[in-house]
Formats: sequence, structure tokens, C-alpha cells
Amino acid sequence: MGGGGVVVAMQSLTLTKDQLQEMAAHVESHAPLEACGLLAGKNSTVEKIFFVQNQAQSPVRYVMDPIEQLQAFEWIESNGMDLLGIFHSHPAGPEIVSPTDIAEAAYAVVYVILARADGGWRARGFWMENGEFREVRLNVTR
Amino acid sequence: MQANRPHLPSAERMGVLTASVLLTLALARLIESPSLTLTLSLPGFYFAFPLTLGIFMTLFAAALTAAGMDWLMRGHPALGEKSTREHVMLPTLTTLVIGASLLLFADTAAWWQGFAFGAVLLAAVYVAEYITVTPSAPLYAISRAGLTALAYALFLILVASLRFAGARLFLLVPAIFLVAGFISLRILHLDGADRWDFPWAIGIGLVCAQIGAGLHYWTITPVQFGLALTGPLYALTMLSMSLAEGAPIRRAAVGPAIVVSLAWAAAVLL
Repeated sequence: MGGGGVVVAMQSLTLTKDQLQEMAAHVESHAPLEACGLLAGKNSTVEKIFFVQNQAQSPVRYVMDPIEQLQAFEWIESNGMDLLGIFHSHPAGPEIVSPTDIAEAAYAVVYVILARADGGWRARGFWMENGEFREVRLNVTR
Repeated sequence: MQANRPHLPSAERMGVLTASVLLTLALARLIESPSLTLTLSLPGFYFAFPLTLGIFMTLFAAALTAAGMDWLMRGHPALGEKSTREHVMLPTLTTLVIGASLLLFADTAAWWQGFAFGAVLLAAVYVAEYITVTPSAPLYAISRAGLTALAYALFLILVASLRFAGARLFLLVPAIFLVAGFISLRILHLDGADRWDFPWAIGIGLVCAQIGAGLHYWTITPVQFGLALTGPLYALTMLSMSLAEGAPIRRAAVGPAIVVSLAWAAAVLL
């Protein structure tokens, strides 16, 4: 889960419609501040979402509460899952990762950005590596 | 060889042992097999050990080394009724580390370089262990220093390899504890006092395992992780040796403190 291990770039991330709605509800309740959390599961399929407090309390930046983050990591470890993704919102846009997101991306996971679109929230996934990013397909199941 | 130079092992036994271990390690690359993950899941505890033929062969090669070293050491004229266990530990660990490292490079050209280097290293360790039986042997001091340096290098490589392989916390912590404990036990025994310092070895193992657990979630590279753990291992064994020699605690702590600072500084700056 830490950095530096064997990195296999993820091509897609699968989550359910309910999980996506949960994430949207969470970020909506924190808007206009950025909200964040972790996505855990196995084989690119999300099984558990952790909502983590944004310690920065900022509309343009997020810093995960380290204690909540550690507790989430320990839960993931204890349940034999992997950290698959990190999500956060961009209440004021853009829909893609920001230069700050790229500069601070430390984990080899999918970064999910939730941005406002058509009166709701649209989620897009990104893989960041060596200062560059590419979009990762989000498979939404029932 | 042995008739003229009794401090060196029998060439025949050396050849058989080295060839058997290398053949076992090589077979791990040639034979492909599906992997089997052994899991133990309890509330709040999940242990998973991915058992592949490669891992099985590496463990088998380590067991072969242990048995072979016992056989090799029994041929030493000065060993007498002494136990061979102190001479079995480092070669066994060396095989384990070489095997684990080769598994990481199984499909690359670097495997052959690693295999060749591993062969030379294994043979050197067998000879060095044999020489350390007799303190009056011509190469005793070099062998002792070489084995001590090798022990730290093995720890660094093994810890970095575990990190590189993305080992889970429940596998990483016991592995660090055992390897740090065994290595410190052997190094403290090599210091010439002929003592098995179990309390220090257990303490050093616990400290290293604790640091490893604390750094597990940090986004650091395998080399940084290895340095951050090898520094304390070196420092604590150094402290134990100084205290055993009767040095005052404040003086004994200066060297280890510098070593830890340098190792951690190197880890941060890398």
C-alpha cells in the first residue's frame, strides 16, 4: 500500500451506482469545500468507501486527516483488500486533475475527481505517474 | 585442498553444496506453475502468503543450504563436538535473499547477472563460515568482517525486496522481526565473545519490526525503506557490543546515534 512497490497501472475501476451516489452525496454535503476519501477493494472493484475529513477545509485543496487515513489503511490491510482509489471533489472545477493533484499524487492508485456537471456531480478517474496523467475508465454497475 | 590447508573446506563438498543450491534456484525460473495463496482470516486480522513454485523452491534451497552447511562444517577438523548452528544461519539467509531477489527479476536479463553474482556470493559465504571456526586461521579477520558486512547487506536487500514486492503488513512485520533478530544474534556471536545474546536479538528484532510497521504506509522507495531499517539494526548491534565490552552508556551511544542519523539522512536525501 505504501509507495515504491511493484506498480501495475490500472486500466479501469469498477464501482456500483450506489457507491457513486454515496460519494456524490458526501461531496455535496461538504460543498463548497473540497471533500475526500479512499476506495478499497480487490481486482479493480471497489468494495468499501472511506470518507475522510479534509483537514485543509478549503474549496481548492484537500489534506486527508492522517488518523482517519491510517485507520482506513489498517482496516484495508486487516480485511485483505487493496487501496484502489482516492477520490476528492472539485466543487469549482475543473473535471480533471489539477497541477496540485499531479504534484502531490503519492500512491499508485486511481484518482477519482467529482466535479459539478448538469446540476449534479460527475466522476472521472485518472492515473497519475511521473508528473503526467491519463484518464481511466470508471465502470459503473448496478 | 583440505589436506594442505585445513582452514579451507573440502572442494568436493563445496562443489556439491553450491551446485545443488544453484540448481534449485535455477529450477524456480525454468518451471512455471500456478500460484496458491494461503490465507488466514480472523476478525481484524488477515494473513495471506502467496505460495508459488518459485517461493517453494527458494525455501527448499534455503533448507538445502542449512543441511548442506551442517554437512560441510562437520568436515572441519577443529569443530569437534561443537554445534554447527551458528555457521548455518547466514548461508541459509543468503540463499533466501538471493532466491527472493531472483524471483523479482525472473523475466529479465538481470536474472542471469543476479544468478552469477549469487553463485559467487554463496561460495564466498560458505568458505568464510568455514574459516571462522578457527580464530587462528590466516583469513579469520577478513572472513569475520566479511560475514558481518554481508549480514547487514542481506538485511538491506531483503527488506528492500519485501517492500518492492508490496508485502502486506502482516507478512512484513514478522519477516523483519525474524531476520533482524537472527542477523543481530549472529553478528553479536561473531564479535568474539562466543555469546548468544537472545535478549538483545529479540529487542533489536522488535525495534526494527516496529519501525518497519510505522513506515509501511509511507510513500517511500524500497531503498529508503531498507536504509531506514538497516541504520537502527547496525546501531543497536553496535551499542550491544560496546556495552558488552564495558563501555559507559553515554560513550557507547555516540556511535550508534551517528549511524542512525547518517542512515536516515541518506534515506531522506535519496
